[in-house]
Parts: sequence; structure tokens; C-alpha cells
Amino acid sequence: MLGVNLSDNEKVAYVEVSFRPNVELISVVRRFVSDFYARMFKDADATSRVALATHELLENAVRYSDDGETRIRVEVLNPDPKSQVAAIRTWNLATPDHVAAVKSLFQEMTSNTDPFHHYQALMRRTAKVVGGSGLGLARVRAEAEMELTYEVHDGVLSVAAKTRAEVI
Amino acid sequence: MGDGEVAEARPVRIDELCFEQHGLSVETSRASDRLEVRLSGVAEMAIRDRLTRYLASLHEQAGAAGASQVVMDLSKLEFMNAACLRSFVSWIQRLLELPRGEQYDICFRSDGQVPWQRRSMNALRCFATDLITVETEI
Repeated sequence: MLGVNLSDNEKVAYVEVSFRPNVELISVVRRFVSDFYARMFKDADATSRVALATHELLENAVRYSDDGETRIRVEVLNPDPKSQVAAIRTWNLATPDHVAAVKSLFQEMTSNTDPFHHYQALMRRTAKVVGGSGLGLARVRAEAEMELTYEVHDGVLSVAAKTRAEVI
Repeated sequence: MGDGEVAEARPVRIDELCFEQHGLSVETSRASDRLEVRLSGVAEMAIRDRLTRYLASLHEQAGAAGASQVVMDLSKLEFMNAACLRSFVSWIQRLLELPRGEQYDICFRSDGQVPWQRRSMNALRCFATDLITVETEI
């Protein structure tokens, strides 16, 4: 699904993709999203940050999808005349264990107000851990400098990331 | 060659530390007491375990060869995910656990035109500032 409405003050453009988990598709979507944002933003840095976040969020959604279905929406919002916002949201059916792990990680991030410090601490703590570490989300917050939120409705986990950016 | 100039050792490819799999290409060579690694392509979920094993082997090779430095050129890498980044952290952690006299330096090379490389290399450097430097190609 793709929409562009340059005259709309709130939603400049968006792309929404649904697919069944396939690790190789993650790179395809990351490149597609990079092209999408490269057309919307002035700076390569913002495009790179959003592409990084897209990959990490999507990888989590694919890896932990409980029914084989993953959805992602990327959009450029225009909340007021002077600012633009890049936003990404993924959805996947998640097990209660995974929801609990995500909830715990978000609580940890909330209590660690310095994203980079938290990222470094998590790196140290998980250096030799096998399996999920939460490093991907911490990386989105620290390296991509994006604000993260999550919601759970009827077992569907939704994780969102957003950041301000300049548009062409 | 004039007086005082020292000839650069010609790099010798280390075949057992070279591979191409799941979109990632790794080339490793030795020049004098330095190991040089070039990664190109993408480092994502499918290659994480292979990359982790490779870095463990590289660490052993560096120790056996008495290397003073490992140059890790990531400038041709399109993308690396957090899981693969964690493989690098594990490698660095292993290095930090060695006695100081047995440690080697790591020099990461990145492309200044690729923003994620600058950010990720900086995060790795902060993990061990005494041992890691970052060279950025402009």
C-alpha cells in the first residue's frame, strides 16, 4: 500500500507492507525504505538512521512473529508547518513471553535516560549471551536517535520509532 | 628506496580466514605483525553465527601470530545488524580479558559517507577506548 499526498498537512507520505516472515526480505524492505526516505529528506544522515531503525524493528518483528505474519508502516508526518517527522511502526502477533521481554526492556530504557550509556551497558552485559539481548532496540534509540514506544492489543505487539527530519 | 625508508611487508592472504556466505565477503591477510580484514556486502542475521566463529578464529590467529594490530576495514559494508555488532563486542570482550602484554590493538576503518558506520564504529570504540581506534575515509 502506498500513499502520497503532498497537500496534506499531517501525513505527507506513507508506505505499508505486509509479508510473511522471511529473513531475506528484511534487507529488501530496508533498501526500499531507504529509497523512500531518500526522496523525502534532505540529509543522508536521517535516511541512514531511519533505515537502521527499520532493519532492527523489522528483524525483531519477523523473528518473534507467532503466526508468520509481519506488517510495517513507514511514513513522513507534518505535525506543524515547521517540522517533519519520520515514523516507523511494526506489528506482529507475539507470545506472552516475548511481550514480557519487550515490556521489561522498555522499562529499563525508561529508567536509563541516556540512550548511549544504556546501549553501552547492554553491550557489556550481553557480550557473551546467546539469543535475544534487546541490543537492536537500544541501538535504534542510541545510534538512530529515535524515540521508541510500544503497544499490545489482543496479543499483537506494535513497536514504533520516530524522529524529526528535514524534508525536500 | 632511500635511506631510512622501511619496506612495507607484502600482505599474504590467509585462506582459512577468508569466506563468502549469505551476502558477506571476508578477506583476511597478514602483513608483518598486522592482520588486515576487509568485510564487504551485508552482515545480517543469517551470517551472525558464522561471523562469531570467524572472529573467534581471527582472535586465535592474532594471538598465535603475535600480532600487534588487527585492521578491520568495514568501509565496504552496506549494513551490519545489531546481532552481528554483538559478535564484534564479544570479540572485543575476549581481547579485554587477555593480559595487557598479550593484547593487540584494533583499528576500524569506516566510510565517512556512510552514517551508520560512523555511529556504530564510535559505539565499538567506546567499548575499549585504550585498544580501539577508528579511521574514517572521507
